[in-house]
Amino acid sequence: MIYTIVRWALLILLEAVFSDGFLSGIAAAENPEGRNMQGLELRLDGRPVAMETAVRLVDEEACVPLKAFCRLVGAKVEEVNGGQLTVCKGDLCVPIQAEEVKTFEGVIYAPLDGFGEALGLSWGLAENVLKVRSSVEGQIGLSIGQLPPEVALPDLYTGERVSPAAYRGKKAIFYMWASW
Amino acid sequence: MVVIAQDAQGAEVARPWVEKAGGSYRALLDQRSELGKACGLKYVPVGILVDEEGRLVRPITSVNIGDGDFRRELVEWVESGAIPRAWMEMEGGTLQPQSAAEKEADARFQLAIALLEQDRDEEALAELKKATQLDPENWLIRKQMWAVENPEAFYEGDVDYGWQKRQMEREEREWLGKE
Repeated sequence: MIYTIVRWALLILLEAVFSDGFLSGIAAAENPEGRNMQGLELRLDGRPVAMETAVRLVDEEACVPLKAFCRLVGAKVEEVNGGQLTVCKGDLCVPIQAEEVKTFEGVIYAPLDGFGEALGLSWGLAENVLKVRSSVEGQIGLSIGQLPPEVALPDLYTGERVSPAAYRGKKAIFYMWASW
Repeated sequence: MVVIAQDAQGAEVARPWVEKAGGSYRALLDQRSELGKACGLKYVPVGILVDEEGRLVRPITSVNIGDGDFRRELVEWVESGAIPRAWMEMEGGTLQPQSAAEKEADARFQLAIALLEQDRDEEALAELKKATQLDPENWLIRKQMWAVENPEAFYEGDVDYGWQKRQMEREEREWLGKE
């Protein structure tokens, strides 16, 4: 009986800890070395991810809790040759430099810069959100100076096909919108 | 100035808005998001500025086209051809990595558009849902799904942005496994 009550109390407590405020509510904390470690929200392939240990910004570098993050992206953390941390995915293993590893509240953190690319990840940081994409296959979009593709799109009323090339010789704005 | 509707449901849903805006500019339809996709744009409103040779000068992604400062910069650029200083600090191009999941999401989106054209809305919705799961940050897909499933929040009077915000929060809670 007491066990059951304790168990429920623990579950409720856990629920409270991991509820809404958890991801966004982590205040900037100071680590023992006095560096600012700000909690970040994590999105993997566009979806928010709840992590028990938050991703953090350390000295302007995105650092991830190594084990939990690797599990998330299908990689494993191994210790080889007496303590050398290595991140492995399939046949590929990347050693993590000892001086890059940081421990915060007993959790090992490492900068994503040190191993992310090797795992085929790409990422960007915007407004306290670390956006990670897995399995990068190619690229889309345009760089400055590039020509948009010649797609002929129908006029909304006449159906006449018009391509961006029809506006050569003038500066033009192509502005995209939708009814929703 | 050319306005391009990114409406997968076609010209009928887009026309009333063009008529209400009453602009004199050309209005095109990009039902399959061909131009939108090629430009790496996954939401609206966005745009691209091109020069006389048709080359990308700047994407319009982080600024509202009605913004006063932006309009002044636009006039400056049109008249002088020189890139305004504020644009130098704007994001460069729209080139970005594309994942396997994003590719699959687009394939499912294209299938959904074909199904919508055949009035097979239920099947289209199933594809749009899978596509949204694969690429939640593609708002062209996600909001299209909302509009097909809940037309009352979009096509009866004004677009209900409060509903959209609640819907987004519902979905994000679901993905976090809290619902």
